Amino acid sequence: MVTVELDIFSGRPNPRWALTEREARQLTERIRADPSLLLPLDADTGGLGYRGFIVRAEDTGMADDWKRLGLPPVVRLGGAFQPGAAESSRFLLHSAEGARLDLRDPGPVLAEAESVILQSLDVQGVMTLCSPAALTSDTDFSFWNGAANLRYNNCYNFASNLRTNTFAQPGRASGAIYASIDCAAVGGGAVRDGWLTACRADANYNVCLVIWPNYDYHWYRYCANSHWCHKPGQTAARNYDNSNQLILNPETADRGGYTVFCGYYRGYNVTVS
Amino acid sequence: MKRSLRGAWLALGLGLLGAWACATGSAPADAPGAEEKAMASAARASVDVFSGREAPTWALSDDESRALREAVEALPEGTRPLPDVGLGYRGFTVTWADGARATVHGAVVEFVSGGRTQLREDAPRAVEERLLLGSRAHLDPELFKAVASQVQAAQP
Repeated sequence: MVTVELDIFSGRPNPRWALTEREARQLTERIRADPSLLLPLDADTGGLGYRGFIVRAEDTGMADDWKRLGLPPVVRLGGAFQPGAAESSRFLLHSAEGARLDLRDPGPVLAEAESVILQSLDVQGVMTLCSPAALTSDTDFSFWNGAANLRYNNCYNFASNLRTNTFAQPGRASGAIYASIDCAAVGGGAVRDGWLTACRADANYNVCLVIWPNYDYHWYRYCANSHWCHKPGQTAARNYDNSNQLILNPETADRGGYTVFCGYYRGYNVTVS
Repeated sequence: MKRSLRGAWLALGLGLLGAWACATGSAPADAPGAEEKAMASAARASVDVFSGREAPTWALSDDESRALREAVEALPEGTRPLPDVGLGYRGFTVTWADGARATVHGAVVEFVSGGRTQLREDAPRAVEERLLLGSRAHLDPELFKAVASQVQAAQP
């Protein structure tokens, strides 16, 4: 029997279900075609929220075929940073629909997983920092945190390094603010403001976009000493995450409910409002 | 920006009112008095939960505004400051027309009035609960649920 565990919860036990023989056969075909789909159990596949699947080959039946292929009995597939596994992840997710899950709320849980899988397809690759990188201090935030400016500039102001005192919104400066809260819409607004996905030759603010699905967005900017900095809304700019840890990698930092990592953007002299 | 303009406007209005009363040697007439009372009790509340988007805000009724002001002013002094949450629910804020402002997160209330900032302690978290319940009519149902769950999860 081949079972699948959706690795998504922090407190509750993850939902698990068995694949039908047909589904197990289809899964092994996918893996045969692309063995890189499989990851070791300790691979970094995300923080809070959707982290991919854990596949187990137990007892007999399809498990025998699995073992005959030389596959380990327990493996990971997919995750928050694995766009290459998006198709197979969706396949596994859909196999949950026919199964009887021990969940009071399967709808929203599966939808959340699907949302992260789809949005991972937009990820601009792994962290590549463009140079020359335009850096600001990773410790001195007085430019942002004084009483006259603190409450009127948000994460996007900080990421752009433009203190407009307008609580800037992606796309507003170009007359087309984002229409929904997702990577494509908010990222699209940023692109209209002048942000790029490719590196610039002269100077680059390296920033990245994350999403709290359906509710909000947040930006981080690469600052001095290899740290990432950010400004959560109207609160103080800082160089640490929700767990008070210095941010070395925004993909793995504690981002609270902002579980979807959209990707990296670069810019300099963009226009925000 | 908007708030400080309104505060300046109010100060000017009240100043003129006082000057007028002194000049005539009598109490202000009913109409300006009633208006003054309404402005003093009107308030706006907001929930600080977003980073990119503006915080949702809504108007409070006169009764609610007065009740909250009384509740906050009745709280004992505290020593704990507002926590530095980062991303997510960071508290409710009420701003009264006279410029006073209270921010509440869990059992901590930070009350700013007349240029002074005071910390208060609300052990039963009654002010926060009142604001949370009052926010329900003004927030999208899913957002309300998300805020409520973060309020519950907030460390005391």
